Amino acid sequence: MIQFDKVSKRYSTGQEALSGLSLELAAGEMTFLTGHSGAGKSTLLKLIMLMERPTHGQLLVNGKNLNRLHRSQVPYYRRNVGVVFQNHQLLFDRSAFDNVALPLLVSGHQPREVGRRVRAALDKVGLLDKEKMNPITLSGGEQQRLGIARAVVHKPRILLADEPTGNLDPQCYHQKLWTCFGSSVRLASPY
Amino acid sequence: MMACRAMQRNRLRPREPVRRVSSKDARRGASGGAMPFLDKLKSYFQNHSQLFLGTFQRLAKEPVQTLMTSLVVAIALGLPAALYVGVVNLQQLGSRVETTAQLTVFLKKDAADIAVDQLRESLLSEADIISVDYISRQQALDEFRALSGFGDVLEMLDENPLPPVLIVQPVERFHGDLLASETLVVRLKGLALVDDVRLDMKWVQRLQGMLEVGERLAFSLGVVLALGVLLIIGNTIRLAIESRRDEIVVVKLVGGTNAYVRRPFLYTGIWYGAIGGLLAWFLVAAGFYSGSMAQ
Repeated sequence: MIQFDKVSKRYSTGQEALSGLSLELAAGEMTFLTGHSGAGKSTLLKLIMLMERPTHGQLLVNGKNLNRLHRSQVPYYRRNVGVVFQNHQLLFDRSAFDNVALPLLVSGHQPREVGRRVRAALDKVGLLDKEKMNPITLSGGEQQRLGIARAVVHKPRILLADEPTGNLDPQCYHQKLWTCFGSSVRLASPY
Repeated sequence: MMACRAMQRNRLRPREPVRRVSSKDARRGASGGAMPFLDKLKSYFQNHSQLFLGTFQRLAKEPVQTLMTSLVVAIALGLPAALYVGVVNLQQLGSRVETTAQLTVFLKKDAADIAVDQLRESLLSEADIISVDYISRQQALDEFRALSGFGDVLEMLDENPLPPVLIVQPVERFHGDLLASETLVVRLKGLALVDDVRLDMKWVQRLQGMLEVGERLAFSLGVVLALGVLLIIGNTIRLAIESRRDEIVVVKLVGGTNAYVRRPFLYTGIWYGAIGGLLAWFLVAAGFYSGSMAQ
């Protein structure tokens, strides 16, 4: 499903984040990625998200070479990826519901479908009763869970999470969708 | 450098029984991107109509800023438009008298009526002249009083300042022929009773020249101001983009296309243009209305 082939990433500052990384992840696999700070965990994630392009090497996702993916195709590729961000990346000018609805709206789902799916996702993370609230009024853990709901609402084939445990209290570990978390970057192919 | 290990194969299913909505969702499976074409088309148009209203509501929430930007657009559009309308109106006035080779002959103020009559007779007998109309000093005064609105000022003067006038209409071959008309002017100027001779055609031509300059001015002013409007709107939109950077980043990360990101800004621009255009229309119309009222 995800295949890194001797991937290197050097930023324009000259810092080499990844060098000659090879790695293969099968569909349905759940993988935890650990490493010290600055090891390149987030870079790896950004490469899969196509937020960055590899300097060398090939990155294949679902049999497709991401190097050959045209810029105009990137949005459609990203609709198959869900990401839980380290800093949540929530929008504070709209409700929790609207935040979670965003991935569905950009891919053009019907409002009825959007409502159904968003509520299902919010229910899974236990925030169904807070759908009308602004994310800024939610606690850190709740914001994190909201980010998780947004990452899964469009049923992505690949789920990425960057330091997802930071704000979750222990009992959340056992909650519904997320059974446990490893240390740092988590790559998961849920289906 | 980096430890990477596959921990477990996990289907990522919820452990507890979930609510009805969720289980219905689960049955559908990973149908993330696949959607009927018609649904996509429908939501495309829904997105457009939603933005059409949504961007307006957003602007209405900040009425002062919206009004200011729209006024900038309105003034930039209204200035050249007003100038152009004025030029066109004057052109219509000019085109009515354009071809007439009419001469206005100002006689000396102390010219006796009998002498004027004789001059008129002799001019009429010339082959080049069709008609000669006489406007006496009193007639000229009455006309001036009626047309100019300065009647009260004239009352204050001790004597009538206006000279008697002969309106001379030459034959058709003089029409549009400046050279022939000029020689006629010189000849008439040489007459004893005549103080001055004005060729109306020359006035018209001068007016025409000025109008051409005015038209060019309106055009170039329009170009410059249009550029200004583009820059101002561009800058306003750029500020809007800057203030909504977070939103753009998130939308792009969840798979929003550039077109999707661009759309709200384009609609905002459309609103600025539309409101500004309406205001410009209103300003120009109001300007000309008040102008014609004053007349």
